[in-house]
Order: sequence, then structure tokens, then C-alpha cells
Amino acid sequence: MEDFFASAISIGVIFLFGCVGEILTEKSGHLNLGIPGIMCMGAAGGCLGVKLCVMGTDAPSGVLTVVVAILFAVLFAGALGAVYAFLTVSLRANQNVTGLACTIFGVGFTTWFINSVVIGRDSVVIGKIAYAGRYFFNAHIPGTEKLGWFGGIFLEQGVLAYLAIALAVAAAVVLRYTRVGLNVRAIGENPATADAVGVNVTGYKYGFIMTGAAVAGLGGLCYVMGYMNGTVGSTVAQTIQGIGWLSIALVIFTMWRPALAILGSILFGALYFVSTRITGISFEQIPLLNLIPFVVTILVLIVTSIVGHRETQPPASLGLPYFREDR
Amino acid sequence: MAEPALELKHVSKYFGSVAANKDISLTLEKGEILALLGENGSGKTTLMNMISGIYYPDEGRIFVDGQEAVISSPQDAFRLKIGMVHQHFKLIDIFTAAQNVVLGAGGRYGVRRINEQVGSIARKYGFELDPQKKIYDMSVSEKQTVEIVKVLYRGADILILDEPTAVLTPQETEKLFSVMRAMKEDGKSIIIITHKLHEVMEISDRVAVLRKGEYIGCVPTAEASEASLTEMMVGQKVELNIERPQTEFDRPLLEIRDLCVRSDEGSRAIDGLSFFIRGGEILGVAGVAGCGQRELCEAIAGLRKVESGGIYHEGESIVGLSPRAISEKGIAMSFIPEDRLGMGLAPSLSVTDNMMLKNYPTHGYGIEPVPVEPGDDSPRAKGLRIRNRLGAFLNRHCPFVDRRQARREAEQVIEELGVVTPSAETPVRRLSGGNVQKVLLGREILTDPNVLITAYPVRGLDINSSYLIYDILNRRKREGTGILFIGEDLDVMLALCDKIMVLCHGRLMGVVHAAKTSKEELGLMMAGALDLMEEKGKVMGVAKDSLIGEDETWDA
Amino acid sequence: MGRVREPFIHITRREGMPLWKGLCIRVGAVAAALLIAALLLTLSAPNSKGFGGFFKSLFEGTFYVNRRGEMNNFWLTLQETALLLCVAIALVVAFKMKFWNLGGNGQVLMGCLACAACMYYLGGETEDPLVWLLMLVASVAAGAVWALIPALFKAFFNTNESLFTLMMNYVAFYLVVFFVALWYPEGTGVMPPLSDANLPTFGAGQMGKSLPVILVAVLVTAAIFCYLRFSKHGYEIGLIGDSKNTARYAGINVKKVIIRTLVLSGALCGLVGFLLVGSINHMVSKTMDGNRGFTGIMVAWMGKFNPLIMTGVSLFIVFLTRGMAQVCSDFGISNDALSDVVIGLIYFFLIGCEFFISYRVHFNVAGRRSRPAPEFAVEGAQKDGSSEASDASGAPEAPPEASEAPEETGAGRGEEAPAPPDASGGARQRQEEET
Repeated sequence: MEDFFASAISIGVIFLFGCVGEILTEKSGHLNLGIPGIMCMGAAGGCLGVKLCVMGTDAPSGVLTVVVAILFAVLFAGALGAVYAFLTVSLRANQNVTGLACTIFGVGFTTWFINSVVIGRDSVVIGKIAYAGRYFFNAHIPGTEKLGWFGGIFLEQGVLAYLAIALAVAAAVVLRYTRVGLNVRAIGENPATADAVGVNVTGYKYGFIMTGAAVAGLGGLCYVMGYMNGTVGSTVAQTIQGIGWLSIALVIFTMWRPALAILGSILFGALYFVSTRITGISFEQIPLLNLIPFVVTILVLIVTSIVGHRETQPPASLGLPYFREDR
Repeated sequence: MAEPALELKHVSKYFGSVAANKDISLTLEKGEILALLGENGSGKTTLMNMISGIYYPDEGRIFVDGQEAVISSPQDAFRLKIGMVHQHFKLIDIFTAAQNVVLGAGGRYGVRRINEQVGSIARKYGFELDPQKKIYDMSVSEKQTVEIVKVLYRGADILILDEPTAVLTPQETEKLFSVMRAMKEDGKSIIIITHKLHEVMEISDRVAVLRKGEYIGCVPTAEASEASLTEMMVGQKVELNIERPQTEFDRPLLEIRDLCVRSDEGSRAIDGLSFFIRGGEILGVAGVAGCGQRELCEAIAGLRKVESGGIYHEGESIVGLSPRAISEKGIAMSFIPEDRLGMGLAPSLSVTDNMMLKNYPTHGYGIEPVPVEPGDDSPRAKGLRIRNRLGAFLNRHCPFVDRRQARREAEQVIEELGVVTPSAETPVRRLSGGNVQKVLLGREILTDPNVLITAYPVRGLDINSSYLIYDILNRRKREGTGILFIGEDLDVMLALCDKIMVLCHGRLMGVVHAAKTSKEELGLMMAGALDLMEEKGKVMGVAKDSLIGEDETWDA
Repeated sequence: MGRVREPFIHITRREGMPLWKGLCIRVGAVAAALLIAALLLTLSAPNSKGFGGFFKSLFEGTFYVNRRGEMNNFWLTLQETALLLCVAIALVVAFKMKFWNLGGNGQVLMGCLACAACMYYLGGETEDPLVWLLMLVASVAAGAVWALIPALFKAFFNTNESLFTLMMNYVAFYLVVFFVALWYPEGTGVMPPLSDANLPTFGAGQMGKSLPVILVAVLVTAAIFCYLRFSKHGYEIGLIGDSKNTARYAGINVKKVIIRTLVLSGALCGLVGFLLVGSINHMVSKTMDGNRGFTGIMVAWMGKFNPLIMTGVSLFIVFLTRGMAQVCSDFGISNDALSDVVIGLIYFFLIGCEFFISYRVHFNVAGRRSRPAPEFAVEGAQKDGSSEASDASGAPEAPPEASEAPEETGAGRGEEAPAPPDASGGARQRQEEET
């Protein structure tokens, strides 16, 4: 049971990264369907960062590796986020179309990049990356075994898990209690109004789309280095893509609240874990478990739209382009 | 002499090929209230949007306190201490009043802190405002209060108010004016946009007049009169000699009894309203903006749910019928909303496609009826009647739509009403406002209605086009159509309508004969100060020869 | 004067750019993207065949003729085009109404699943033609139902349709996995092709297989073109897409039209599923939709919702996909993910260049006041020379590359890094073993 919860959290935080990234993006009024591709980009960048740190040295520094990996993940994901932002904000392209193009590009790029550039056919690289994954990204505080189930579930997570929760809390605080959050929520609701009172709409949109992309990119890194212990396979991008779509579902499920997303992600993580690792149910029942998060999300979407409470709705201008001089 | 607070020099703004503002020079002195006067669509709001950084001028320069200023964004305007209260409130619905006030302004942010700040400003100027109330729970005047507090919070020295009184009751207007005077005492400069002359005379120090995007002139209010301002506004002294043909009033065509309708916000927009329209009369509806005109139109056209009460057409209830069924009974509605496009037209579709908006189901194969004399009983006539009926049946059940007839209609409207458009296939979006209106009204009249409901048909039209519209309405009146005319301009209504009913917050204040009433009486009724229903104690709005109820079999 | 700051970029909407000019910009964007792709591959591929080789391979993806004189690649291209176009057309019906049906994948998959179910349970049990009919009905119905569910909630509760349909994709995906596992419990999750109740082909070879599919696509495209342009339903759809309030005012039952249109949209997707399973694959797999629901969105949007342009766009996309796969195999690149990269790149360029077709950009040249010309006086403004340099539309091919290239390099930097020379077959094999 302890293992189950620990695993649920370790998967959940991947969703959490993607979800918080998408929430940040959507709060600025942009539905970014490129999140799956952007998460992949994070994985690609992270793998490159790890490779750069662990190759050519016998005793790579754990802290340096993690920091460089995070940096590269943020850079790669942020770059694709910037492309999305440039196309949808500056060039006013359709958000759905641009997002899907980002996903196609990101998944393709990552598959190619990880296979050709990062690992090639070099088993040494694979081994070293796996080493980094196991001992750097999943290192935990010594002595937690003594704390019983609590330590087992909450204190034996990898470093990225805590980063995810910290980011979710930070996102919640920023959105709810700061001027920046107030401004971006205003933009997501009604960009013309925000513009009229002097909020820099374009700047905020770029900022939040790229920050969102960077956060989501960490999800990709978290999957490869954290959850998979650095085991890099050729289908990694495909799997992350699936996780990316679930992350978008999670946004709806948690009604655009990062704090709620922490709990939601653990729930989704548990469902995902059950469907991949559980024994004792028959082979054909597994897909039905996989279904549950999506069905539950649809139900949440339906219920919130029927109840129609103003505060649980998607940002009012979600998906709509903004052009100041439109008349 | 001190530098003027704000100076515009040769400012122009174009939208496509249309000049919204052309070569405008304007000065606002410190500590004065300048009224910016002009008809709808004369470019007042566009000009003010350039000062507040929403639009950027294509030509010209702006000086603030004697320094040339570039106002390319609202931040620039904010930095120059220019604040604008827009006609359409720019508020975030899901935020509280306080959050809206501080949005975009500097300073530390904290929920308790901003609530206190906003509360204290509201108290200082005597506004009643709960800083924690969400905008979606607020009334119109509360929202306006938030807008004004927003500008005050920023410490603006130059305030621009875009038609602030349009949505206010007289008491609220008076309150607003006293606040404005207090701000003037404080050394602030205020531009108020309005087209209500008596307000201009009451509040302003000077009046600047715009006409069709051009600057006409600026006069001290003390030296101006309502007549001279009107002349500046419209260009020439207008004798409102709108024709009012005398017609035989027919039996009641449309009767409304104790009608109650709710607004989108859930409040009662129409409250126990009764009235009737006879064939061959024009019934005017007067009232301040937003006192239920829109909801009344929508209820009659079947677009809005009727909460209680009845709507009868020639004695038959039409409550609950579909909009199409109502339109097929001969009730046509043309509502010109403020953006002129919102209701009744599809902006991306062509004039032709918009022309068949209501009758496209009958445009199947394009089989047209052959005219037959009514009394003709010859075999040929019988045959033709069967043919016509068959043709109509086929047209209605054809899966395809025939655009030839619609194109002919479009061309007819374009020619008769003088619509300026490259062709009948041009998207309506690319037409200018007045032409859009002509298309809309032209279509409604083409359906040959027996009841025509028309709201703000001359909104934003030039004088000649307006007279053209009045002529069209009078022509329909002579042909026995009952017309409900919802208007803004009392002078026009007094000249054009046979009777005028006055609404105040969705309630009927009385029905008066246009020839026997005065502007003052109407104004008092609109403001709710005079209620003929109570005063005279008689039942208004119910026809003596009503077709409803026991007299349902009444036959003309 | 000097310290006066003016906005550097000034953007206005533009209407009615001549067709050839728009086409030039698009062709320029594609050419630029292809050149970048060719450059990358020529420089980085282990088995590079040079610039000319790149374009030769690109065309061979479609036009290769084998020794027996068969043009399998050509027929496959047409078949793929037909399938993609069908899905795109299905989506356009909904998009015209501004209903963002992102659920094409799921609707196609449900069509596939229903068709496969008929084949699995009924194949060989009864007469083939009867099974065929049932397959058709079941596929179309399944696709329609999958679109109907979000449509109902959109119509009655205004539930966000893009999120709803997106989620429905994954429900369909796992339903397929479930049924395959149910039918073949001991298997690996892959369904073997069924031999009963296959749809007939027109003669032997790839041509015979592809022709029925192509024929259906042509019929569907023509029918929907007429439906949208000439029918009363099409008029209603356009009206609702433009303004729901106006549609209501015109007496249209908006709820009914939303539901009816989405049923049609889903039914057409289901029809594609029917072709995929009944005629082409004779089995169902979880990835059988081939992501056409998403690619179809691209096609619809780039084709401006016009079925005729969309035909060209889908042909172009399939040509590229197949061509890039050919390039990758000829250049010795082991995984064809690279073709996705190039296609993604081309999407970015095409999406970006639309901006320069719909908008006009005015740059303020430093130190000089420039005034954007009124919309209809463009020609004159260009002649007087003052805005020649500043008007982006002046040089049709220039803007997309000029302003996008710096942006792209951020994402594409990794591609420029030369791949390890031995990143080919061996590595791929080993990875497959791992997973």
C-alpha cells in the first residue's frame, strides 16, 4: 500500500508539471494543445543536459547534473513554447492548429533527437544516463526509512517531485495573491479590458506561455529521469505524449486551480499506476482502468458547465485571439 | 496663461478607407469641464480612444501639459494621468470591485489592503460600493461607480467620461454631476461625451462639437444655446418637419397584456406591460437606454421567454411560438443594436445571404408563383392556383437553396434605399454602419409585414438617410401596417409617431398622443417622476375593441 | 522630436489580397521550410545524397515506379490523401459552425472498432454483402454517436466542445485496446487481419485496393462541397458559425442544427473508419486513426475550409509525409521521426505566413514619422516610395523567412548538431529490444 501511494505520487508529479504548465498558459487565454510536444522537448533537453554532465568524467556531480538537466529541459521546452507564443500571440494564428503542430513537431523531434543525438548506439551513454537517473534524480534524504509509512510515501520521492509540488504551490500563490496573477487572470478573462487599464497583454501572454511551457517541459524530464530512472527507450516520446494529453485533462478536472491539481495529479497518478503495474485483474480490463481519468474529466467538464458557476468556468477568452485595433 | 491640460493638433484616424477622425484640433484647459458633443457615429469615442491609448492616431500630434506626448498604449495614458470611463464597461466579471479598481495600477497588492483603499475612495466621494462584491452580481450603475473609482484611484488629472449618463436615472446623474463639480474644484480637467443637450448646458464650461469625424468648433457654454449647438451638431438648422400622415386606424393588430419578461441577468426587464398597436398607426416607445426595450422586442419576436402575460396577434396568442412561426404571421422586427451588427445580420455573409435570412426555407427551386386574380374562377386560374401551391410546397421541401430570388431582392434594396456597396455579394461586415442598417430595415420591409417592430432604425444615420427611413415607415403606415417605433430622439418621436408610450424600468408610465404631449412631460415620465397610470387611475394599454377574451369572435 | 517614442510596429487588417500574391507567400514559406530541411539532412545524414538527392527522394515517395512498372507509391499517396481529405471534410462541416471538433481521431477509431466488431462477430456467419451493409451502418453510427455526445452537451449546456471532443479521443483509444484484448486475450494486443467479410477490390495490386477509397473520398468531397454551398442546411451552418444570435433571430433551431451537423461530421469520420478496416487493414489497432483527426484540422484550416483547396492541401501533406519517409530511408536515417520534424517545421511556416496574408505590417523607420496608408490606397502608397521599405507585403516571399527564421533556430538548434555517424540500424534494433 505504501509502495502504491509512493508510486502514485511519483507518476502524479509528471501530470502535475504538465497540468501546472497548461494552467499557466490557459490563464493567459491560450489553449496550448502543444503541451504534449513541449513535454517531450523537455525530455529531449533534459537527456542532453544529463549526457553533457555525465560523459567525459568519472565522477559526475549529482547537483550539477540535475541543475544542468533542468536548465536544458527548460530551454528546449521554452523554445517550443516561444514558437507557439510567437505564432499565436504575434502572428495571431489559430491556437488549436498551432498547438497541434507543436505536438507533431515536439514528438517527432524528441524521438529523433533522443535516438540519434543523445544516445545513438552507445551503450555507455545509456548506462550513464540510467546511473544519473537512479542516483541523482531519485536520491532521497537518508534516514527516512525510520519514519515509517510517512517517510516511505512522502520523503522518498525524487528531487523533481518536490520541485513539482513547489511549483504548483507557487503557481497557486502567484495566480491568487499577487498582482501578476491578477493581471494574467484579467487577460484570460477579457484581454481588451486588461489592455485598457494598462496591462501589457502581449508581454504577459509571452511570459505565461513560455513559463508554462518550461514548467511542462520539466514534466518530460521528470518522466525520463525520475519515473523511468533514466531508462531511455525509443518510444519515450509516444508515452510522454499520452501523459501530456492526460495533463490537459487534469487541468479541466481541477478547474484551473494549481493547488487542487496537486491532489488531482495524485489521483490520476494512482489510476495510471494501477493500469500499468497492477496484477490480479485480467489483461483486457486494463484499458478500462486507463479510461477512467478521461471519463471522469468529461464528467467534471459536464457538471461544471451544467452548474454554470462563474468561478469554475474556463477562462472566458480561452482560445480567442486578441487584436487591439479590431473593430 | 497656464499651459492647456491637453491639446490635440491635426489628429486623424482611419479605419480602412473610412476616416473616423479627420484633422481634429482640440484644447482642454486645466480645471474645466469640456463637453464633446456629436451625433452617434461622429467619431467622439474614436477620438477619446486615441487620447486614452486604445487606438494610435494615423496622423497628428498630442500635447499634454505643453509637452508632446506619444500615447501608444493605455500605460502611456495612465502615466500621463489620463483616465477614461468607457461607455461599455471594461470590467472583469469574475473579479471583485476592488480587484477591478487596482487592476493595472501600481502599488502593493493584497486583498485586505486594496479593499480598504477602494472603500476609502468610495466613502470620500460618497459612492455606495462594496469593494468585495463581484462584478457579475452588480447593477449597471454600480458597475459605473467601479469604473469611476478606478480612474480616481489612479489619480488621473484628465478624466474622459464616455456617455456616462446614458445608463443612469436622473438622481444618479445628479449625483455624478456633483462629483464632477467636486473634481473640477480639485483642479481636474474633464471631458464628457454626450448627446444630451440639457446635460451639456448644465455641467460643461465649454462645448466642442464633432460632426462626421470632423471638428466643427468649440464655444463657451455660457454663449451657447441648445439651438445653436444643435445647428453645429447637424450642420444646418433642422426643421423637424417629418410628415405624419393621417390614416384610418384599423382594429388592434398586436395586443400585449400584463407582460413580464426577465433580462439576461435575471431581473425583471418588462414588468406587467400592456399595450396595443392598431393597423395604420405608429406607436412610439420612449425610455432611457436599457429600460426593457431590447427585452420587449425579443419577447415579441419569440427570442426571449415570456414569464407571464400574453402577446396576441389579431386575437391569437403567439406566446411560445417559434421565431419563424411568428415571422410568418407577418410580424417583422428590426433591432439596431449599439454595434449595429449584433442582431439580425450575419456580418461575414453577403448582402444576398443576409437578405434571405428569414425566408430561405421558401427559396427552394426558385419556382415563383404566377399572379392570379382573386375572384377568377376559370379553370385556368384554378390550375394556376394548384401550380402555385405545388411550387411553394416544392420550394419549401427542397434541400437546396436558390439564391437568385434573394439576389434580386438584395439588388432591389440596394437600389431603393441607396445602399453603398461594391456588389450584392459583398460581406455585410465590409459595409459602413448606415448601409448595414439600410440592409436590415430593407429586408424586414420586403417581407411585407403587418406589424413592424423597429428599434433605433436611424441610429448613426445621416439626416438624409434618416428621412428616407421615416418615409419608408410612413409608407408602410399608409398601407395599414402597425408600427412599433423604439427611438432615442424625442423630437423625432413627437413628430413621427401617433402615440407614444413611455417605459421606466420596464413599467408602463403611460400612453400619450404625440400631438397633445410635450417633451417635458415625456422626460418626466421617462425619469419615473410622472406616472399617468397612477395619476389618472384609468386603464391604459387595453383596447376598447380588444380582440382578446370574450370578444374573440369579434369580426371587422 | 528625437526623444519621442513611437510604436515600432503597426499592424492593420487587410482584406482581399490577390490570390496569386497569397499563393506566392505560401509557396515561399513551403520552399523556405523545405530548403531548411534539405540543408539539415544533407549536412547531418550518415548517408547523405546531397541537395539534389533530397528532392529526388522526396518525389520518389510518391512517383516511384518499380521494375514491374507498378506505381504503388502513387496509388498509396492517393489513398492516404483520400482518407485524410475525408476526415478533414468531416471536420470542416463542424468548423464552419465554429464548433471545434478536435475529436476526429476518436470518431474514426470508433468507426474502425464498430466495423471490426461486425467483421469479427458476423464475418463468415452470413452473406458477405449483408455483413458489408452492417459494417457500413455500424461504423457510420459509431462515429456519429461519438460526435453526438459532445454535441448534445454543447447544445444544451454550452459545454466546451474542444476539450470534450479531445477527451473523447482517448476514451475511443482505450476502448479499441479493450476490445482487441477481449477478442485476443492471449495475444500481444495486436489483432491479426480477419479474412472474412473483406470489402471487394477493383482488380489486383495496390491500384485495385486504393480505387474504392479514392472514389468514396471524391464523392464525399463533392457532396459536402455542394451541401455547404448550395443547401439550406449549409446556409444554416454558415449562419450559426457567423452569429448564433442572428441565427436564432432567423428562426433557426440552433440546438437542432448543432446536433444534426455534428452527427454528420462524426458519421463521415466513421465512414473513414469503415474504409480503413473493411477495405484496407481488415483489423483494428489503437493507432489506426493515423492521427488524421489532428492532421485533418491542419488541412481544414490551411484549406480555408474550402473543400477544393483542402484537396490540394491534403495531397501536399501526404506527398510530404511519404516523401520525407523516402528521404529518411534513402539517406540512411533509421527512424522516420525526422519526417515529423520537417512536417512540423512546414506547418510552422505555413501557419506563420497566414499572418502576412491577413494583416499588413508597418514598420516605423527610425527618426521618421511614417503613416500607414488607408486600406484601399495601398498601390499609391507603395508608389510614392515612403512606405516601400516599411510595407511587408511589398516583397511577397520575403516576410515569412525574414521574421520566422530567427524564431525557428531556437527550436531547431539541436538539429544542426551533427548526428553521430553510427546512429543507424544497430541502435534502433537495440532500443526495440529494450521496450
